[in-house]
Amino acid sequence: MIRVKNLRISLSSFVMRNINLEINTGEYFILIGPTGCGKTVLIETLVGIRKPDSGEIWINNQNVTSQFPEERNVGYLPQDFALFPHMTVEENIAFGLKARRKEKKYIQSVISNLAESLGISNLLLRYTQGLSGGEKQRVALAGALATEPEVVFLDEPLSSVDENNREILCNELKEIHSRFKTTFIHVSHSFEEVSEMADRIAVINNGTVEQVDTVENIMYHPVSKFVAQFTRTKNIFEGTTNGNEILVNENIRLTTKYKTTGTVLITIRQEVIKILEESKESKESKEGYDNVFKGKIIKLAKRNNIVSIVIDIGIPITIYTMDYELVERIKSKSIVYIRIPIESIHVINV
Amino acid sequence: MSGSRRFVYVLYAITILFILSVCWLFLSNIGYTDTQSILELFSRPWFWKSVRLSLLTSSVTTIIAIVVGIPASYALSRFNIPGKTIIDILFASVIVLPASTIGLCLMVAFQYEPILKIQQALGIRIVHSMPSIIIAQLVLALAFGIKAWRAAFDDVNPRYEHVARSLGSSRMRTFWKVTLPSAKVGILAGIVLAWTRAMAEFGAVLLFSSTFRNRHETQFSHIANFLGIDRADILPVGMWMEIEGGNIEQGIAIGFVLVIITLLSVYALNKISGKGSQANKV
Repeated sequence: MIRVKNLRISLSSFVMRNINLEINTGEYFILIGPTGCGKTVLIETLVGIRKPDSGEIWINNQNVTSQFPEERNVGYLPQDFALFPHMTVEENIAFGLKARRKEKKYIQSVISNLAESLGISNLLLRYTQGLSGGEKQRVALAGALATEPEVVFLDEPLSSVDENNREILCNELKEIHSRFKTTFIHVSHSFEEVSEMADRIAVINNGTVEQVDTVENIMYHPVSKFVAQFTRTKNIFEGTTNGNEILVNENIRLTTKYKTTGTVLITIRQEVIKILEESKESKESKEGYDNVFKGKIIKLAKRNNIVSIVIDIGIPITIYTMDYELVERIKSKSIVYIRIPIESIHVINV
Repeated sequence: MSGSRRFVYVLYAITILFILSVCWLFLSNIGYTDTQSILELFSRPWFWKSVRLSLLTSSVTTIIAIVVGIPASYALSRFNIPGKTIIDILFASVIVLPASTIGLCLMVAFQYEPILKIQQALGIRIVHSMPSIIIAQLVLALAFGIKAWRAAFDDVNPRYEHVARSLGSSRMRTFWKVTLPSAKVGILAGIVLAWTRAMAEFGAVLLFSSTFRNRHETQFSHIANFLGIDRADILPVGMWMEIEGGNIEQGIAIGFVLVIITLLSVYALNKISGKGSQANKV
């Protein structure tokens, strides 16, 4: 387990404070946040490249805060993988083992096992310059995994990879993680890129950890407007509440399962809102469905495999759907009905 | 004619003018010497002693510069040393100052009372001695070397070092196995630059070490005699002495020897850093 306690790191005028994390052994943990929020500074501190001002870093019940990187038994893959250009792939993988003065025979067996496992046996005698992004990633991982580290840190490993290969590399990373069962801490600035890989995510903003949770909880139960925006929640509104009814824009009443009073922020994920077809709508309304609204389609756009529809119900509501037949049926209509499920409305007290 | 085309023609014209000027500079000197003078120079024992002395002092200077300058350059490149800016300014000053000023500073520094007392206690005298040539050459060779070596270390992405250390490699092992090989081209270029600068040094050596050719043979150590560098001056000083003595042809002949040595060094420098310059061609 990796435990980070009250870490404070300063870098000229930028300060990271109150960083508290607990990462389980074998977990695929993702540190996520916008550019400049301090993700890389944090990971470099965990690796041992930077010294924190205060706080503690524990790796497997050992306080490593004052240890040098070479003493921490960690693996580190920076953005460009930083494979040593003057060494062959084999020498790159062997580097950590040689630093630990392992026997030649042992080094050879580790290299051949890892190379076979990661499908890079044919690259061993090559230099690293001509390798593809995927090959570089596998070589860097082989080098890091060779020393059997407690944790592997990956700093935006997909940032220099083109969109077509990103998904392949994501899958590869996840597959390698599940095979080796080593703790992975992966830094990324893109929620979409890593949401399918993570066991848990820590969202970082402006030097502080905003939320640590599972992907689902971060998406559907964000603790702040920033987390909601960062996880691409499209429907974020301010409202006033008294009991379990929220008044938005003075004319939209939303029923929620929360009971609270005062000004609140509500978030509704765009993929859970339903578009009702005429025949169903009247039936569902009669049967006592809450949060059914009549609205006008003001925008309809297709991106990748998802259709984004913006419906004005007094407030603009964005809906994502992959039901193309439904889209075909409703796109010519001027008025449609939507239903916002009660359980999908998340309330944040402000 | 378009503006772009005109600009390219102007650049070509300036370059050709510059090349012609350099050629004229060297070729015009050929008229002032002849094969006879060069052969005569080669037949003089003091000339070969001068060549030996120049090669020996420049090489020793370069070795000391490597031992001192490479670690210092690495530290300047990687660590937040207090007063780093002042150190930078000082090194830059050494490069741009007249070399004779450096020689004068060295002379005054080594005549400074406490330093003089140390020399007396050790039974040595640095000013105007043969080893002082190395000290004078070293100041300039170091300034040039450190500039090149620091740039070479600056060019090495620190991430390589971070990865190496995360893999269990100590800071020293990382330096030898990762940083130094990655900076190889710049390091070699710096070595050639330091050696060439030491070889070409004149003003600082003249003031700090003076001349040796006209001194009595008893003034030289056994080592100098053994190495065959007694009563000899480094080539730039030798050239100056010939010209001062009215032997212009011989002076120019020594000048040609220096030009050939420098051209070979610069050629080596270009060869070493060739990979880098290839990338900049459009």
